Amino acid sequence: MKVEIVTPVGVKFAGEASQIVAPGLLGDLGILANHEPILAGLRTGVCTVHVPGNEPQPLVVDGGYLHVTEAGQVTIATELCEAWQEVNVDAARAALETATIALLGSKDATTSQAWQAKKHDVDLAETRIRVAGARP
Amino acid sequence: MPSLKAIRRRIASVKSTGKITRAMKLVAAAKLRRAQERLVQLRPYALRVGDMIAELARGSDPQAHALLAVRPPKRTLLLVLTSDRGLAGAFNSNVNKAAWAWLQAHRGTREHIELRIVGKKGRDFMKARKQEVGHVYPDVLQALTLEKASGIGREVTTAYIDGAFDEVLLFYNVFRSAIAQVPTTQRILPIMAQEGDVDDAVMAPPSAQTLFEPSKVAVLDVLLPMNVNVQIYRALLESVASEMGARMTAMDSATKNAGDLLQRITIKYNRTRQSIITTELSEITSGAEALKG
Repeated sequence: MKVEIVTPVGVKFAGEASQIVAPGLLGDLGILANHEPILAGLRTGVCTVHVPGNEPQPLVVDGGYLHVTEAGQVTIATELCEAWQEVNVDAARAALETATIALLGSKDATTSQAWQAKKHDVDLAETRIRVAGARP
Repeated sequence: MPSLKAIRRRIASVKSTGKITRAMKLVAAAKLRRAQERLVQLRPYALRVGDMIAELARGSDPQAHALLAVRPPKRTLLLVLTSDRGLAGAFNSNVNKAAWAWLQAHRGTREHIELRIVGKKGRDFMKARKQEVGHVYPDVLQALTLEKASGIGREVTTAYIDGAFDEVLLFYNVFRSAIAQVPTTQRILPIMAQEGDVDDAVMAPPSAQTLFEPSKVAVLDVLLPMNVNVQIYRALLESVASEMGARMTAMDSATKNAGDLLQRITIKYNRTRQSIITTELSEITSGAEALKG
């Protein structure tokens, strides 16, 4: 199936893939060829692209959506997408520490925007470290 | 008649001004190229997100999501994108004047109009007119990144959902070419589906059978803020490209003017020099004549 990952800084991936595992809002979504049309929101997490003949590529994905058209074309649009080569592990570790402290010390309600933003920072740092650790 | 020394000083000054304007033009050209590259990179993403929004918004009830709901506009937020530096032709004054004109025209019809500004030039313009400015976003333009645009986007979206504003308008320059920048007003909230916005060749619209995971509202929750962010980011890039284009043109003509001026002063310098020599010669010959007598 044809897969395209677009971000505001360019097309991150365009080509054939046999399988995609994307971080859906409620849980990971496995997309294979001939998946039925779906429009899914994504959370911050790891998205894995399986290209035939290659090692699966883990990518950091920060929100956005995944769309499978009737023709079976898959589009992922996300504000941020990084391969493990692009992750700065030290920066991510430092960010995780400060973000965790901020989150634990936060007195905001867990439904508030402020709390969600802090949670997002933690998730993003964690995902980056996970992707960097999963290098093929 | 000015002394030779004064003219020489003038020549040196015009020459160095010309050098500065030429350098500024080259810098602006390089920055313009970079901004344009980023606009090109953004295009596929902006197209996909825009199409998807247009399609979803058209198919759904405007009350389905707070960001789609059109409320009677009582409280308006104006986001004005200017630059930190001048010497860019009419770039800043065009967009400032557009925002100012809107403000004057709608003051009576709104309960409250708040201004939020990117760029020192916009702040200064409003300050000079004693117009209160709600917020000036600092350091956005030094290194423009998506995160900064998204930060503004999140803030605006939250304020809109909380009911602080009923509409959000964006004032900025759209980049057409290095000599043409078009001041533009764009409504970013509430999000309206525009007819004919969807380019079917790029993307097949989600059909009736499309599954929403986990639900349509949850997907809209993700997509609509994405759209606000991308519009602000694009507007910022357009604004930076316009600024650089305007500066390039302005500095190009400044360099040309410096060249013309230099030519004129050089002629004046030579004439002065010649006339001084002539005067000296006639003094010498008349002195010699006088001795002969």
